[in-house]
Amino acid sequence: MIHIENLVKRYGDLVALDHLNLDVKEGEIFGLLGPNGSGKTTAINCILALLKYDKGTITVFGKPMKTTSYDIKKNIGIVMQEVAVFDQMTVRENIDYFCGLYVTDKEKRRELVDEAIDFVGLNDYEKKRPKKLSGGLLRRLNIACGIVHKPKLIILDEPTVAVDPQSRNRILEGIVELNKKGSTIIYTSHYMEEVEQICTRIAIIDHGQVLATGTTEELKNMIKPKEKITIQAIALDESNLAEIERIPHTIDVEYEDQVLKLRFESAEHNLIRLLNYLKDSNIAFGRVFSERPTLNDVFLEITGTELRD
Amino acid sequence: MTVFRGFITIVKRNIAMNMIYLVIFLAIAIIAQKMSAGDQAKQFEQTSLKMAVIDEANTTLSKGLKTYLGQFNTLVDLPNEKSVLQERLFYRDVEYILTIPKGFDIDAQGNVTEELKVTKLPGTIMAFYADEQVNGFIDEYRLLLTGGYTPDEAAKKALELTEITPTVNMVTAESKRAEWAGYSYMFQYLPYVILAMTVMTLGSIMMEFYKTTVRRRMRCSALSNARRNIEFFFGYMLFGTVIWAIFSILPLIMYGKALLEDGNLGFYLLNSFVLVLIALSLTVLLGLFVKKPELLSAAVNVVSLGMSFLCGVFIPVTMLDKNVTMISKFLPVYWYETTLQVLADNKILSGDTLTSVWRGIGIQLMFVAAFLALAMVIGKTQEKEK
Repeated sequence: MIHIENLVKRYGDLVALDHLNLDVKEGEIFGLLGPNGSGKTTAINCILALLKYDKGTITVFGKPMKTTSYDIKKNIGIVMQEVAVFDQMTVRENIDYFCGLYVTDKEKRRELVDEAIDFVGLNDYEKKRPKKLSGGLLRRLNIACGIVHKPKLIILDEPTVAVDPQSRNRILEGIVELNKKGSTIIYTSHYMEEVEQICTRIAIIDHGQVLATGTTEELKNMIKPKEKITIQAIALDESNLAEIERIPHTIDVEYEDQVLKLRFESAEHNLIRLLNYLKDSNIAFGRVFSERPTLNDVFLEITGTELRD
Repeated sequence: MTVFRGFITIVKRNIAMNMIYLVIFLAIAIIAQKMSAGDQAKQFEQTSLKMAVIDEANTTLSKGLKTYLGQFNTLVDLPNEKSVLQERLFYRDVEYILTIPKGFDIDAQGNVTEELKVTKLPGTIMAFYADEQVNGFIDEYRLLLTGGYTPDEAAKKALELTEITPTVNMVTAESKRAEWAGYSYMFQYLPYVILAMTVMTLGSIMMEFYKTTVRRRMRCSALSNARRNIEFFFGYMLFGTVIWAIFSILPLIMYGKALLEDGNLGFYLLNSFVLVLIALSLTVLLGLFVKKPELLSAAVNVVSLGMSFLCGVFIPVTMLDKNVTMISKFLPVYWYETTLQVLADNKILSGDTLTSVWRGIGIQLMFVAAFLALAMVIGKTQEKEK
């Protein structure tokens, strides 16, 4: 659906996109994950022909994307990071206005507006002006304005920034529902939990480059640690730690403030082996946590920095 | 016609504000016309006071003074008793009591021998005039006395002099203004209301449509730039035409036949239509700079009130200071007002007057073109910077 090849975008000396390559397939929820300033929004703006780029090619629906590609644009819905609505129009008027940019038939537009209002749950606020809405409701209105015309491709650029948890969950559920109804989604965020929760495929992006692409599982498999175990253990000495380090697949061991942290290469039977050792050595232990690696671990492994940095 | 519909929706939101401006305009125009229609020479009228003069001196001067005061005030006879005087003053039967003490006179050096005693109602402005009358007469008498007149002659002469009434001619900057028809005054005040309403309404629309976020969303849509601009243009023109129609119909409703029979009606309407074009083009230019509602309110006041004071809307063009006129000539409303003046002064246009009208309208159109050209250049520059 979208093919980006060797995309380069410079702002003076700053290289915002550095030979970016990306493919988005029909029917997927494609996550663009990266820290602030990694180039996500710049990439989106290039895809939408809002920005001129220095080098590379972008095709959308198999056609090159240009400022005047209105036949392509009519099948794209966009939800920007900042809320883009008219303050002097009501909720319904706003949604109707943006629907009107794509749909001219009045009856069809009314149906679509009703559906969009239902979809984002703004039925009780139809006649309110945006300034009367809370942050979460305003985001929902922003989304309704972007998806009201039922586009084939929906681009959501950090739609949950500064949104309360309740509205965030509703937005994420809505995105999955839109995808189920047939829309391909591009979702950019620096919240890895969100991306992990809803995206079928993810591209990790930093310094304008795609560092890795794949499903959540594929990305997690790309890194060495497969399991993290944290356990409260009392009074371990050097010899205990040396023996624990010899448990199969152990990558590293950390012991501080009576808390033992281990990383393993393989995800199987690590916990049972560790617990058996502690039991056999008569070491008292308390709370136990076993975690699969997160996308943050993937990002950390690839770039050496935390995703939230 | 989505953009056009959006435009109209926001215009509707501003109707209340526009109505306020409309009421202000009508109030100003009607009051101004009523004031101009009255006899300005009679705006000041001296008020007669109920006055008592207790003459203890009984001299030529005191008698003369009493006679003099009686010319302007109603003299009330009262006995020289303190309690009676206080009571009559309390009940407002008398407002000013002048006691001329025994021995009151003017000596050879021109000094007053005894001080006059005055009792008056506190806080009355009229009493001030009475004080002035007393002082005026005594000064006159003193002048004549020191000039060689005898006391009798001086008192008599002073009274004669007060009977001479000077003739005052009210000089106006333009003689024909008094002959202006009522509707001419309405057209005179038009720039204030048209500029205020246009800048306020269209400015708030531009602020909405030119928000970076909204513009980005619209640029991502299936609507072409050309289509969007055309719909915007229609919106502007519709707003301008409606405003123009309202302010053309209003004088027709108020003055009906008189306006219809004015041979310059066509020029009045053309001049006001060009004024609307000025307001529209100026708003397009201002809209590129004004991004916040509070700035918009300031811009409305600066533009509408500023031009009104500088260009002869509130003060007739011919009464403007020369230095102000130098500045005004660089503002379009000045040319609207000068054109209007020619139309109002001359019921029939020919030769020079007709040329003046066309020149005024032409200059206004040049301002329209200049504002639009400037807006295009600045708009392009801003777009590139973004």
